[in-house]
Amino acid sequence: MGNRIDPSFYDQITARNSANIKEKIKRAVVGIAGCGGLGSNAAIALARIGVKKLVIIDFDKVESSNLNRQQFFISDIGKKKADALASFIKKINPFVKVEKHVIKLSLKNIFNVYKDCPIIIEAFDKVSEKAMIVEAFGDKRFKNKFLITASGLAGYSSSNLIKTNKLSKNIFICGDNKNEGNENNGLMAPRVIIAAGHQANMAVGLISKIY
Amino acid sequence: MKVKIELLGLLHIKDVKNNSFIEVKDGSTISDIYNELNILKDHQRFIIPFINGTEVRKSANVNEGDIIKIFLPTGGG
Repeated sequence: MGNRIDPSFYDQITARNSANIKEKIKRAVVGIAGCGGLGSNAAIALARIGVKKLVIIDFDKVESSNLNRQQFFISDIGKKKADALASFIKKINPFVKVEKHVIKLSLKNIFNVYKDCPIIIEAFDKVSEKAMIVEAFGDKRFKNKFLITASGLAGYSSSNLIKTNKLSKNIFICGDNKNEGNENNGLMAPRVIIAAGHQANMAVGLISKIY
Repeated sequence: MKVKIELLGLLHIKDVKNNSFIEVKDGSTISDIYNELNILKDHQRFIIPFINGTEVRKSANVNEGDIIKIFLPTGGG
């Protein structure tokens, strides 16, 4: 699809990007670990501003209950999330390369899958998966990469409680660090999108520094 | 010796205030501190420790005045 579009259209799509970072964004490669509420929203934000490449990972399929916060359509139900997200991204910005992996990320494969990504956005749902990726950043193979993780984004309490904080020299954490998703503290688009926006914006901040 | 404990995420430990100093034995590891704080083994496997801003393993030794961040991620995404 991208091959048939005039390359100058990229400049038209990204005309309102900040001029001083536009060229850096064009070269940026970002990993997205999980294509659900956080991942689909963060990926689309970064696709809209025209990053060079997104490496997206998710083994799961789209379900009807995902539509309250995740960037999918009714027609996507039953499709692999990574496939559906890649397709949506191409409709927004066909110049963004999408490398998709329909796999379960683990400490066995994460170092290889993300070897070319200097920035990784953690967008998992389960505590065990979030802990796994933070643990991976304790390994020397990831010592020069940056992780943007999320913790605390459920419910509908104040938007202003969601912050971006530095956890270590190369790990940032977005969220209120408190509101965990459960039956009475639902995962809903407004707050999930705020947290995903924090993650995407932190990625842009890092892109401005490392590219 | 004394070390500072910062609790991040959903972790709440009875009788330990966030950002407070606790007394630990010389030569203690992070794992020893988990046990000292009575953190359940089931919870320990999801907790990520940091000493002075650097991610470490549970076997890492702590020293006088270290700032120990203990991060238990909050689920949802």
